[in-house]
Amino acid sequence: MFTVKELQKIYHFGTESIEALQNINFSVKRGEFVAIIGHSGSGKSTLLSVMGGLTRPTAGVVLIEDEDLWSKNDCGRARIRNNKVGFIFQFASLIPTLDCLGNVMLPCLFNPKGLQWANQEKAQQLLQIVGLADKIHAYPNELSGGQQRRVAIARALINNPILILADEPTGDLDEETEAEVMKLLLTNIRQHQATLIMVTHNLHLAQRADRVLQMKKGKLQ
Amino acid sequence: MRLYQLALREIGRRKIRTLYTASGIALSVALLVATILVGSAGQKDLLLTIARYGHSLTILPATTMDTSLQSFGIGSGHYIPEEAIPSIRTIYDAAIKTGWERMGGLVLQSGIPFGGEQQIQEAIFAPRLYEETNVLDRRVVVAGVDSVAEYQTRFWWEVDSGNLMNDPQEVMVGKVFAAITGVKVGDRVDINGQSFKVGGILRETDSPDDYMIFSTLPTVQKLFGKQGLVSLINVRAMCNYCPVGDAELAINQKVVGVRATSQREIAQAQHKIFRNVTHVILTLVGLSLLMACMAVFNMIMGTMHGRIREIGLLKVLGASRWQLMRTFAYESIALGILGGLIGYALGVSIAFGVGPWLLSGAIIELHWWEPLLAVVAAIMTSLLATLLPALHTSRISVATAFRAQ
Repeated sequence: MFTVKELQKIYHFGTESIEALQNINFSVKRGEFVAIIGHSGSGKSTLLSVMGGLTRPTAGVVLIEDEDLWSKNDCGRARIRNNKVGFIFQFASLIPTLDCLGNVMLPCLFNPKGLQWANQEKAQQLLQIVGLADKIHAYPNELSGGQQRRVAIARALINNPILILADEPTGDLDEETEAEVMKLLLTNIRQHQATLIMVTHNLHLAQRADRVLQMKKGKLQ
Repeated sequence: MRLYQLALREIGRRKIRTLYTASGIALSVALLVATILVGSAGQKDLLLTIARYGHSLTILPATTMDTSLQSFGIGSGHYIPEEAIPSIRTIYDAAIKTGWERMGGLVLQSGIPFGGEQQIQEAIFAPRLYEETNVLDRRVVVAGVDSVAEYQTRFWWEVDSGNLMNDPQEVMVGKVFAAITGVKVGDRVDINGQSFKVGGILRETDSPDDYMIFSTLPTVQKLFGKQGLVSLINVRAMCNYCPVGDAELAINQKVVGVRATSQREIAQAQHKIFRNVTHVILTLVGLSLLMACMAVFNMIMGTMHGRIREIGLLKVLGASRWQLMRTFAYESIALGILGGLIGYALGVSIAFGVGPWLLSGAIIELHWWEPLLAVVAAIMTSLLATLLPALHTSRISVATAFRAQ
């Protein structure tokens, strides 16, 4: 179970204050796919960032499997992110010095319990699933935008996360690749009973979600 | 893959910047290595010289109250009989042997103590007879010397022109005397009614020797009717650790009519001055390392800023602050090793290139610990320079990191 309670985020710019999130409350069950839609500036990305432990909320609680994310210190949040959360960003987010395999295995590097050989096998499988079996040793600069996005998805899944936070994961992909990526994500959450929370402008994608949450001026409608 | 591999890949990605940063460390390390190599070579050369020639002792007639040029005892009738030299030598050797045994040293041969790293040679007794006379219408001191013993005790002697005195029919003149009178090698000078050929001109020594005329001891003794007499005896111990003070005391106590004066302090002072100069230079090198540290700090700060989004990404993927710090430390160590090795090679080149020019006769020697010291100094500099940027960057929030670019 993933829960946010009375979430609030206020940004201060000099004397001005902007309330990006106002009293956000919702819960998501394991295996559920939730889409968050809304206009630009409505607070979708801020909400995702707070839920992932990347931006500290002004008030409120984020519970991942009953663990209060924001009561942990930096190290504790890093461990939760590493063990339980998978991120997919809207920008290309690969390390240029690592090949596809290295990028996919990157979260395992920060996991003290990670077994290198087991992770390598799983990384290869994931790259095969995302259709990049022949690009295992290719570097990011040798990949197209869509291929980079697929590597990022494989990386988000390597640690079997129970929560996947995706920010416009198919933003710059063609329809065919978009369908493949969505199929991959949905198959994964069904198989591992993971929760997928996806921020998107794409209503067609949102319609495939179990639940759609609409954000408007920092509030859930 | 491990954290250090991630760090090495990052180093490999920014080759030019890495080399540029490492060169800052390398230059300071090179200076450190060169100073240590040249400094220790110079110090060793000085110590070897002191060890080789040892401390000196001057034995004068007891009535002579001063060892300065004005008080040779010239014309005062105060001399040491030449025949007393063997008995003085016996007393000297016995005192050195006893003193050496008291200090726990081994004596392999009678009168020749053995110790330290070098074979200790027998002390050199160099007698001198001084007489004052007119040469080329100038009052000058003519010194009769035992040429072999004299060259051993005055090892710094070099000729400006001609050759060192070795012929009883030739004289060697001091540089200042030659300059004042205009005599040249090959000229003839009359001394006490006898003509001598100028065989050589002594290079300036900044000592009373520059004003003198030198000839062999028997020649001067005969010339001035002082057969069997000497004005003083210079004794060079040829051993750095010999208890010259004991010999000084023994001679003063046992030989009537002479006074022995040790010059051990001069050698010690020379050593101390050299050591102090080395310390000052090392301090300056330390400061240059600190400056290198600041330069590297700036470069690393710039590099970190350029990588802030990647660092944010690593945090998102679960890297703790400690893991990030470790990654930066590995990068820093790699940078230090690179800078240290380049700096060591550069420092050795500088030492071999400049060392012999700075200190003639100094032999640069390499030791196993020097590259280690260079690398450790470079790593410490690099780590120190990385510490603040690493702390700052690892603390930055992910959201800030993503907003940064």
